[in-house]
Amino acid sequence: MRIRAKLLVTILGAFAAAFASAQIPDTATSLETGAAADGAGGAFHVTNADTQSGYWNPAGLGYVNTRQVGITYRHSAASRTRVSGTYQAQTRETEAESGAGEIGHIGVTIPASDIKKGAEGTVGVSFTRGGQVDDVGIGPVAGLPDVGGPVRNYVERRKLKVDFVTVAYGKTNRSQNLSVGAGVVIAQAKVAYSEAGTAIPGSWAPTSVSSNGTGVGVIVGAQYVPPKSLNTSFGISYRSEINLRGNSSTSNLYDKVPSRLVIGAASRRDGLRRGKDFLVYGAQFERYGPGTRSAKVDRRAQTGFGIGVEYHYSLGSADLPIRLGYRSIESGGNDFGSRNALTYGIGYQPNNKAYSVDLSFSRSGGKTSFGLGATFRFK
Amino acid sequence: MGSLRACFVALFVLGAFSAFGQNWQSSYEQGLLAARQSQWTNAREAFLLANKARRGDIAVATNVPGPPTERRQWREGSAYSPRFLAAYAAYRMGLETSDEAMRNSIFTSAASELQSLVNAGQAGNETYYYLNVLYSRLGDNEKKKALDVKYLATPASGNWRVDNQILAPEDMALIRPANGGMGQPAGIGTGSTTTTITAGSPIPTTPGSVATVDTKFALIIGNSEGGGLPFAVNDARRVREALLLHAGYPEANVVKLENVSAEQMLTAATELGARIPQEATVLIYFAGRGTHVDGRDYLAGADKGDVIDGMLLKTELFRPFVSKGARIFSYFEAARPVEEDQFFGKEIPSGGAISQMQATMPGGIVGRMVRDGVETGVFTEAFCRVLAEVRSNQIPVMEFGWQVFYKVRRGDTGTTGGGSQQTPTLPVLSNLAADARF
Repeated sequence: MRIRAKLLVTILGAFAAAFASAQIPDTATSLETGAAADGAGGAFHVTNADTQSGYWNPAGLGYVNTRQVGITYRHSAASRTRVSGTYQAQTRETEAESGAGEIGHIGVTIPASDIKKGAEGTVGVSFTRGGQVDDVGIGPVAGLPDVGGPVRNYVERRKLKVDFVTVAYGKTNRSQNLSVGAGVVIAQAKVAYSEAGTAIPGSWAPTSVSSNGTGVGVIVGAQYVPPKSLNTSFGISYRSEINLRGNSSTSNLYDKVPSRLVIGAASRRDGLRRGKDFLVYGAQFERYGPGTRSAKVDRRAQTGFGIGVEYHYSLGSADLPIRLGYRSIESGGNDFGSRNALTYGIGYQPNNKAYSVDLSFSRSGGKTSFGLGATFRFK
Repeated sequence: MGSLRACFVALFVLGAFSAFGQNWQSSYEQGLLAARQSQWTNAREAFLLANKARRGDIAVATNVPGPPTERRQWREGSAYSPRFLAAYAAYRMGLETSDEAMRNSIFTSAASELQSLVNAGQAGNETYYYLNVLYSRLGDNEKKKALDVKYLATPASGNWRVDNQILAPEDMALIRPANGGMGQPAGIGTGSTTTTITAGSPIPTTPGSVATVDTKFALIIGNSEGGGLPFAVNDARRVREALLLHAGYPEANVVKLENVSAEQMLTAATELGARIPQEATVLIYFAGRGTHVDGRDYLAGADKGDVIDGMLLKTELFRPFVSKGARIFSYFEAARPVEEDQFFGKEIPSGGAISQMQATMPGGIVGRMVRDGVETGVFTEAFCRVLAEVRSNQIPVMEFGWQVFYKVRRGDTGTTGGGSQQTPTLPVLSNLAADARF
C-alpha cells in the first residue's frame, strides 16, 4: 500500500510538472520531431520503422519495405524569461511559449532493391530538427543594477538549433527477427547569443555572437523481435558525440552535440473488439552524454524517458490510432529546467491508401504545442 | 572516440546479425514461385523444406516481425500450408507423369500426406477435394467412402484454412462456390445444407467422380423408336455418365434402357425395385414419348408406338419403388401436346414420396441441340451440366430444378436473357420436402 501511494505521488508530481516550469524547458538536445510517436510520449521511436528511423534508430529501416516520404510540421520551441535581480545575480522566471510553425522532419526511405536489383535492406535519408532553444529574456524597466549602473532595456536572447541530416541503412536478417542499421549523421548547430540594452560606458556594452557549427558522427542501432513473441520489439540505438567545426565564435557556448543512447521496448496486444483493434504500449529510455559546460547553453549528461499507449481503432475502411503518453527529460544545465510533457494524439490511416496523417499534442509548462505529420507510401 | 566506439558496436552487431536466422518463409515462397512456374518437383522440395524449418500447417494469419505499431501479417494474412502444398505439388507431379506405376506411387504419397492432415484435423475443403480426387484416381473406393463418412461426422470438416493461391483455378471453382463462401468440396459430403449450386459455367473437366452412395439407384430410359424422341438414346447415355461421374450413383445401381418396350421397362423397374433397400433414393429419367389418357399418364414403349396397350402406366413404373418406401426423383423429357385439356404429366400420384419434373410446359415441345457432334435434348443438356457443376451426392431437388430451369431458358446465350423457347416445369413434389436430396 505504501509503495502504491508513493507511486501515485510520483506520477501525480510528474504530471503536475507538465503544467509548470520556472526555467527554460530543456529542448536543446531532445525535441519532439512532430512524429506520430510523439503523441505517445515518444515511447515508440526506437522500435518504429518509418522515415524517422534514420534519426532515432536506423535498424527500423530494415522493416521499411516501401518507398516512403514523411514530413512533419510542428510548433518550434520558444520561451520568454522575465529577468530580475541584478545583472550579476539574475533571478529568472521563464514561461514556455508556442513558437512559430516549422518543418520538424523530412525524410525518405528507399528499398535498396530500387537502387540496385537484388539488394536487400532499405536506405533512409532524412532531415530532422533535434534540438532547439529560443529564449528571450527581458529585464525590468528600472534596469539591472551592479555593473556600474542599471542596464536598461535589457534583452537577452539565446538561440540554438540543432539539425541532423542522416543517411542510414537498415537490414533485417532472414527470419526478420533482428534488424540492424547504421548511418552517418551530419549535424549543424546554429548558436546565437546576444545581450542588448543601454550601454554603460566602461562597464557594460551589448554583445552578440553567433555561428554555424558542423560535425559528423555515426548512428548505429538494432531492433529485435523475439521469435516467440512477434508482437514485441526491443530497440537500441547509439549516436556518437559530434564535435562541431566552424563555430569558433560560439565554441565556448556549445561546441559538440552530445551522444545519445536510446533503449526501448514496445508490445502489441491484438484481438481487441473482436480482432478489429489492437493496443500498443511501450517505453523508451534516453541517455544523453555531456556536452559543453557553459553559462548560457549548459550541457551536462541528461536522462529522459517516454511512456505511452496507442490504441488502433478500426473504422473498417481506416484505422484511427489514438495515443496518450508522458515524456520527461531532465535538466541539461544551468538556466534549463526539466521538461515534462503530457502528450496525446490521433492519426488517420486509411486502408489501401498511400498516405496517413498524424496529429500530436504536447502539453508542457502550461503551453500546448502540436505536431502534424504525413507519410506517403509508394509501392 | 565516440565514433570509433559506435563503429565497433556496429561491427559487432552486424557480425551477430549474420549468425542466426530461419528460412521457412523463404523456402515457402520459393515453393510458391516454383509452383507458379509449374516446376512442381522444385515446389514440393521447397515446401518440404519449409515444413522442416517450421513444422506443421497453420490456419490463421502469421504475424511477421516488425514495429508493434503496425500489424504486419505474412503474405497478407494467408495461411501457412507447407504440408498441404507439398502434397498438392506431388499431385501435380503425378498428373505430369506418363508412367502409370510411377504416377500411382506419387499419388499414393500425396494421398497419404493429405490423409494425415485430415487425421490431424488440419484439412480444408481443398484438402478433402484433392484427397477425394486422388482416391478416385487410385481407384480406392473404400477410402473414398471413409473420407466421406469422416467429412460428415465432423462438423468442422473443411473449416481449416489453407493457402490456396497456387491451386488450379478450375479446381477452385469447384471447391469454393461462386459466392465466395466456404462450401463443401464438390464430390464429398452429404446432408449438409450449405451446398450451393452455381450456374452459368461450362461443364468443368474435373478428374475423378463424386463419392458414391450405396443407397442411390437410377433407372434411365431412352426411347427413340416408336414415336419417341430421336435423340432419346443419346440422352439416356449422357444422363448415365453424368450420374456416375457427378452425382455419386454407383455404377452397379444404375440401369439404362434403350429403345425398350413397356414390358421391358416394367420388368427393369421391378428387378431394380427388388434390389433396393428400404427408403432408398431412386432417380428415374425418361426420354421418349408420353401421353395422358383418362387422367392417367402413360409412357410409350419403343415397339408399339401409339397403341395404348403398348404403353406403361407411369404409376406402374413407380410402384416397385414406392412399395419399398423409396424417395423417387423423376425427370421426363417428353413432348406435352394438349388435347381437350389432357396432357402428359397431369397425373400427380397421391401415394409415395415422389418428385416429378417435366422438360417442358404443357403444350410445349422438347428442343434439341448438338453437343460435341451428338444430337441431344436441350433439357438433358441442362440436366447434365447442372450435375457437373454441382458435383454432389446430395443434391437438393428444388434448387437443382431451378438451375435446370434457368439453364434451359438461357440456352447458350450466357447468364442472362432467354435463349430457348422451351420452358421446363419445376419439380412437383408429393410427400417430399423442397430440400429433399437425390
